Amino acid sequence: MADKYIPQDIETKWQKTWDEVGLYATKQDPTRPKFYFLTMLPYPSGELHIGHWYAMTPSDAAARYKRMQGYNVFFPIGFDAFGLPAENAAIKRGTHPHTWTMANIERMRGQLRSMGAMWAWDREAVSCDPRYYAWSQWFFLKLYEHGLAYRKMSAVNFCPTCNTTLAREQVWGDDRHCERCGTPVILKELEQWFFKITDYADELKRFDNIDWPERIRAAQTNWIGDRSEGAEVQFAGVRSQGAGDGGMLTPDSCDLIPVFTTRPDTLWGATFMVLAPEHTLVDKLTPDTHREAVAAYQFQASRQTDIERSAAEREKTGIFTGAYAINPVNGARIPIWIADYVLMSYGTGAIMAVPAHDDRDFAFALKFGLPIIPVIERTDQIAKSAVWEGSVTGGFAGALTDAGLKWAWLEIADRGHFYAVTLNGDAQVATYARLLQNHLKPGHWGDIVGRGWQVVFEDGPLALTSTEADAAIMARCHAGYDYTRQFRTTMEMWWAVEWYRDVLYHHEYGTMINSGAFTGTPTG
Amino acid sequence: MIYCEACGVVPVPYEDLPVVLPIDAIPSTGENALKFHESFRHVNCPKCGGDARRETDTLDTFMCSSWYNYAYVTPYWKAGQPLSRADTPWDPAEGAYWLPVDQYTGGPEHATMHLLYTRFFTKALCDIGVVPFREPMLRLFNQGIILGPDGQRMSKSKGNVVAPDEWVEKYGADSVRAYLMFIGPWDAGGPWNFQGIEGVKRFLERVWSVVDDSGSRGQGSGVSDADRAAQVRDLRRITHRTIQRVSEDIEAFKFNTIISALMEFNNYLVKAKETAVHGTPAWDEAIDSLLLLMAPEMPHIAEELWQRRHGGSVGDRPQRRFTGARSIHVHPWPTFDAELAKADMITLVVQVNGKLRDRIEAPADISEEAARELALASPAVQKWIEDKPVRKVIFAGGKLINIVVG
Repeated sequence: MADKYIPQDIETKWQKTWDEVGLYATKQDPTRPKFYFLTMLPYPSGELHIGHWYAMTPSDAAARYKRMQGYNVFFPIGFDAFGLPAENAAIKRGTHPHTWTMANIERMRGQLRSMGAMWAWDREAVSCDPRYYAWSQWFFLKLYEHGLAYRKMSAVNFCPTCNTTLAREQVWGDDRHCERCGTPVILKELEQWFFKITDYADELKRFDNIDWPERIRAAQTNWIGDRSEGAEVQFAGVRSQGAGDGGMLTPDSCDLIPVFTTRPDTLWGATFMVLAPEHTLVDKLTPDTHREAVAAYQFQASRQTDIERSAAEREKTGIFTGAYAINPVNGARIPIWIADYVLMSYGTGAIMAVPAHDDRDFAFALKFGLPIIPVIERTDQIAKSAVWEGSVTGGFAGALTDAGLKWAWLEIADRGHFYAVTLNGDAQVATYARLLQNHLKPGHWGDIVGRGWQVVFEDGPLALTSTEADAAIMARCHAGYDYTRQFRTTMEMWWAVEWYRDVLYHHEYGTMINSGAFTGTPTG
Repeated sequence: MIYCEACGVVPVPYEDLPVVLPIDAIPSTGENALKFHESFRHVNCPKCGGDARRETDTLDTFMCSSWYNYAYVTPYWKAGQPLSRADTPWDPAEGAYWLPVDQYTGGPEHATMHLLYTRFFTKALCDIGVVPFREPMLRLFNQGIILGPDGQRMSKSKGNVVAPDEWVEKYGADSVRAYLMFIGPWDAGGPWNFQGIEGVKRFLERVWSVVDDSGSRGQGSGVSDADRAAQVRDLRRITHRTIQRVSEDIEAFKFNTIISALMEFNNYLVKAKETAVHGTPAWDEAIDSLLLLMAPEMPHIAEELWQRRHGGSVGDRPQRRFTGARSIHVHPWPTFDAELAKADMITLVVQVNGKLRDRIEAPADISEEAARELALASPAVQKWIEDKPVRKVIFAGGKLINIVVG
């Protein structure tokens, strides 16, 4: 064997020989453990590209290794053959999509063979073959019979020129135009078929006994979490001038901004709204006074990828547009911000921000001094209070002990010593509020955080129930001490006390508070 | 589905499946061609027999991809026969043997569509009584995404699609396979170029000539028995360590380190071939192991060289027909002897400022970094260093390490 290595001399020869002796024929064999090794099947675009080789040849190597280990390995291949490219090619060529697809498949079979992979060609399946889709239709009937396929109205991307609905990938560019004809795409309500994947939402979030990569598990969990159940809510967006403060809203004076929420029970706590910087209404709603700053922020956001923008640990950025939205449940006028953590490609591209019950909104509100109104009461009954020793008269400690309340000393750097009281249940909260009021020195106050969310002054408590209440509380606190002037909201003042952190904000279900007629309604 | 004025939404009876897409419905615009196909649209209601119209919305493509893993076990099951509600969509015996999927590989971009729907589908099928398990794929691995040479996702419109065909023609499938595995961790992906495939091809050429036994044997004549034994021991150590490395890496889908381990092994063999080990049983063990370890990644060259060694199709042995049972690809995977795979131990002399302070047992091929770590961890050495900064470390020939402090 003094010849040289010439792959062209041996590769096709072995591919043919392996075929002839049936080396990769599929056979059940009860004497060997089976191993089903599956790699994703290609779409018959006509050309196998290097990405296919990159996915498939290591898979083939791993499958071959399993075989050498003694497994009866099944390594099948086929073609996922329905799809847009076939339709587009058919339009272009004036032929039936089937003709184009089958020619491509024939060509790609040859390319797949050139890999030298151990494909189980005897089990090849092509999804556009009527013998295949007969069963796809059979499954559809089964799902329908079991109530898992249903019709409902839904907004879809629609091209008015092509007179057809478009898939997400057929909508191109920031201006959302049709891939085929360039016409701006509109949203249209049409009756659509849906699968009731939500029936399995909880189970789909569990990955018991399967070994799947963390990022896929996280992506699926998030996806289900955000879409399983929820409501689309319309906020009316208005420019700061004009309607909003009690003025009549007409379809001409406002634009409806749809948001999707999984927690409609927290709607009353929506204290601001955030749009994706590229949301189509931003330009329309922004008043001239804010235009320049908004444009600069939009430009900056457009230079980053969605992945960068949605990273949870990232420092939040954003800017006020100068426009407001009307919260449909209580008519509150809330500011509209834009921030790059809201993505146009996700949901409706707009969110209602409920900082008391969502961690990203909470971080955003604290950073920009936006109001935080709790609307869901905790179920664990725990509340806390931290009162500066200088703000109460002597005998406070004894009174706490006599009332059977649990307290300890808390030292906060630069601020001195505090009575740190932990309260369990509404009765204790009421007892404590009364006792505190009796011992407060003029001009001082104490906080109760967790249940009731109130600030107790000498002349009575003020509860944090609305943005107006927030402003009133802060005005009184600012009048008390100089150092409180740095705080922009009541919640920010509380947040400064690390000791409150565990009762300050939460995303659990509980009982609705500060929600008008719905106060007292249990949620979850 | 069928829409009937009188009966509302009526499912197509199972027996009437499939509803075949008309071959003469050719789309001329983006609009659904089925909407204009009268003989397809018009249908009699299966319930009342009255005029009705057929659904023209087609199934989403993920409907087909949600169950292709099942279709493979018996494609086109019951083709041409009327289907019924009580059917199973594949041969139950085949399904019971092969299902579910043990290992799935594919791109992470399918995370919340295909990979989610296929799980939903299986759970629904389980509740409907079609499958006895609730997860379709037990293990999943996501490879990275290969980008075009410009770092962008490959697409026809960008004109950056790399077609493998010309490279396969020029270098062979084995080189392209090995190169794709070699360029980096499989889950990393990245921009693509073919610079460097020459090196992989040269590696295969070197394998070819190492395995080539037409040259004379026994270049080691005149070598002492003791030297020969030491060389054999070293060859077997490299062989078994390579088997160990490749076995562990292939389990973990670390293909890039498999290829580099094989390259290192082959480089060693190129040199060893000139020594007394050539022609010994250890040499045959090494060559056979090399080919067996290459078989999954580079199946053609491994088969060719294996058959030349063991198939008797060339040389002086009688011709024997190739059968599947003789293929390298059904040969048992080589096993390694952990004792043999272990490196020889040496005594590492540790000095502090040139004075002998400790002797440590260490593998003969210990790296400078590992030796430094080992030396600094020794209490006998620590005593002399205390908290003085290490100024310099001199590592000599894998036998001595001198730590200069002060």
